[in-house]
Amino acid sequence: MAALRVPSTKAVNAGSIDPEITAPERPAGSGKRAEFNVAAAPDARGFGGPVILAVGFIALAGLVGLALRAGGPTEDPNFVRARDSLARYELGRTETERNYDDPLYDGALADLAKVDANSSSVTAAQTLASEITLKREAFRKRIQARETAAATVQQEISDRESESLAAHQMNLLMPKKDFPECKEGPGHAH
Amino acid sequence: MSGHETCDVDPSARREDGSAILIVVLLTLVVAALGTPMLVMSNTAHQIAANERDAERALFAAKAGLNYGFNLFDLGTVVPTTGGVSFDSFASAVATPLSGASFTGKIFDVSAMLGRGQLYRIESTGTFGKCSRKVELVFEIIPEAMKYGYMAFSEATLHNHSGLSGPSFKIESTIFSNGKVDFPAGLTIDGSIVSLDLVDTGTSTIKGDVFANSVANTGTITGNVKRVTAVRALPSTATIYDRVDAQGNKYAWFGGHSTAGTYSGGGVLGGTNTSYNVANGDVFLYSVFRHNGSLMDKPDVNVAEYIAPPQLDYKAMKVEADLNDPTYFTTAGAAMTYLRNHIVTETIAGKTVKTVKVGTNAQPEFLYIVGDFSLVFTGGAGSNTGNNIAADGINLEGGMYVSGDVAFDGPSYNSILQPAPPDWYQVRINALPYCLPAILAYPQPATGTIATWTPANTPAMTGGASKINMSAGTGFYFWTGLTLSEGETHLHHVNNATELIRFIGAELAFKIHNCDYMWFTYDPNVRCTKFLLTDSGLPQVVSYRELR
Repeated sequence: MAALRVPSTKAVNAGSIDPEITAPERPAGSGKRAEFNVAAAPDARGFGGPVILAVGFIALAGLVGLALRAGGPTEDPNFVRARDSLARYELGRTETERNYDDPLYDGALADLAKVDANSSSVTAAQTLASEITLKREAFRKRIQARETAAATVQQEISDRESESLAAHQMNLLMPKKDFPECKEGPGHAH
Repeated sequence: MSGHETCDVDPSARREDGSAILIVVLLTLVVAALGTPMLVMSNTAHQIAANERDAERALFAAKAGLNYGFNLFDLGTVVPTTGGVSFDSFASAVATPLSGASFTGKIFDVSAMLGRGQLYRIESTGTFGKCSRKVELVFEIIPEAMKYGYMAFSEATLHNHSGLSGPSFKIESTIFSNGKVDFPAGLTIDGSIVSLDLVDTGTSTIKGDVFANSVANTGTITGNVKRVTAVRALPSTATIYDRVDAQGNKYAWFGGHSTAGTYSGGGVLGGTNTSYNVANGDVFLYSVFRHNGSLMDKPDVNVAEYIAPPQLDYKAMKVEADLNDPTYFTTAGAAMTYLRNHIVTETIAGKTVKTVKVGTNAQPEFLYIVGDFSLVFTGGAGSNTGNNIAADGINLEGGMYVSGDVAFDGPSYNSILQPAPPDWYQVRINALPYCLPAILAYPQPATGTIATWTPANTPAMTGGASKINMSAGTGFYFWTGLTLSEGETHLHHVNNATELIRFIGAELAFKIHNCDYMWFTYDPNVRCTKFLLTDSGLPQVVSYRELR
């Protein structure tokens, strides 16, 4: 609240016999007088100032950000899409658990091929594309080697069984009739 | 505003002016308020349905992965490990039928972890779109070859030299043979027999049933005789086959036994004598055991099926040998040196003997010996060079693999010098408690190194290579565990009862050739024996879980 101000009466009563008008004075009270924070009064009047400043600052920062974004180099959305889709797929999968023949990798390569040559992502996109290609080749070699190894194992098992069967057949055809190492005892029936 | 003031309009009508637009706006708001949630809900329902469909397809893919993983195991293409061996659907032949779905997985060997036979776990993760599901299957294999006590991959011949019946030659076991089973006189077999060829009883007594292609009975069979055809299972890809069972499995005749053979001999037959020629579409009953490996009370076999010899895991044997004492020996001489360093003098029942003591209950030893291994005990003051060892006997807590022939020999039992069983044996091998084989005599692969060998490299069992041979004129032997020889296992303790071989476990060989004095008892615990891989045997599902 603004403080009560009493205008001076000295100029009005100049030359008058009337006693000089003075402001009435209150007798000093016996109780403690209420304290008014006179210094705080001007701040209370300007309460909206900092808010406006903050809003202005935020707006300014936003404008600066937009300006920087519009003016500086940006990531190509094709690259971002490819990178994010691969990140989602590869998260938690080890190298041997990734199927590089998955259509997702075809899609990623297609997206990477669409990356604007003037964008900031072109180098990263090329690196990612060549990395996918290399890993895909290694993956296909690994699958091929695995299938070959499996076929070899199957062949070995088959050969092994054939050999055993042949030996068994030979044993049937030419059975051992005498056992010289067995000295025939009295109870021997053969 | 002045225009309005000049119009001659009914004041009451003028009060309704603009209400239409308000109504339209309100109705629009109401419709929007009702329609928007409906649209949102409809879209959400579609998304839920799509996710549900993808999740179901991912689950189907995961289950397909379980089947594929087991198929790889069954074919022998992958050998499960404790750390897990990977499989996936990435090969085009597998990926194409999945129509966009895929799976990855691992097969773990959890046999040792749970301490129960051959136990495996398959984990499979199926993926479709953004959905993935994971399932787990635990299954157990009880190899058919380890269900029988006597397992002859070509022939079983028993010789009763003493002519005595009873404890001097006692067989408490079932017998299986891909070929003939030939008995001597005066022997009692306390179990059933399955043979793909001829069972010749001699004048012995068979206390169980006999299922064979043909039977010559001049002794006594207290059970039933059933003469059956003999088959060998073929891969599902086989284009030439002789029979198909009720499940579509394909078979070829084995040994030319496409019809049941004859029954001959004038022996005593306590049960029935029947025959059966297996037909297409039959449920092939070839085992006298239940799925859990226990013996059926009244088995009904309608066909005899070939059982293939097992493969060996050489690398795992070396790993076992490297445990505790380093007992991987590239020469028999190195093994002999090791054994000589383990001779202890001990007094048992007042008699002092020198015994080669290897392994303890806490630290059993598995010996891996390249070459022939012949051990001759010469007593405490005897020769200690070459194959001779200056000891009275051996006590091995563990087992052994030998790439060549195995033989133990020693002086005859002397009751004045040596303690009697069960306090002491000339040759004691205790392998069963540790799931180790007691004795494996089998050649190594001809090429490569142990670091590169896989079970598929195991040489074919042809009967001509590694043998287990125990000659007469020794002391008491006591073995627990499984023995396997590529050739013949000839246990020939024929002199007297003081060289009795007490054998508890299972005996597998191309040719089993046992002579008295011997007392054999099958122990089903041999099913946990390590290092032997066999694809014959029905898998039993222990548990199935959908993990997420």
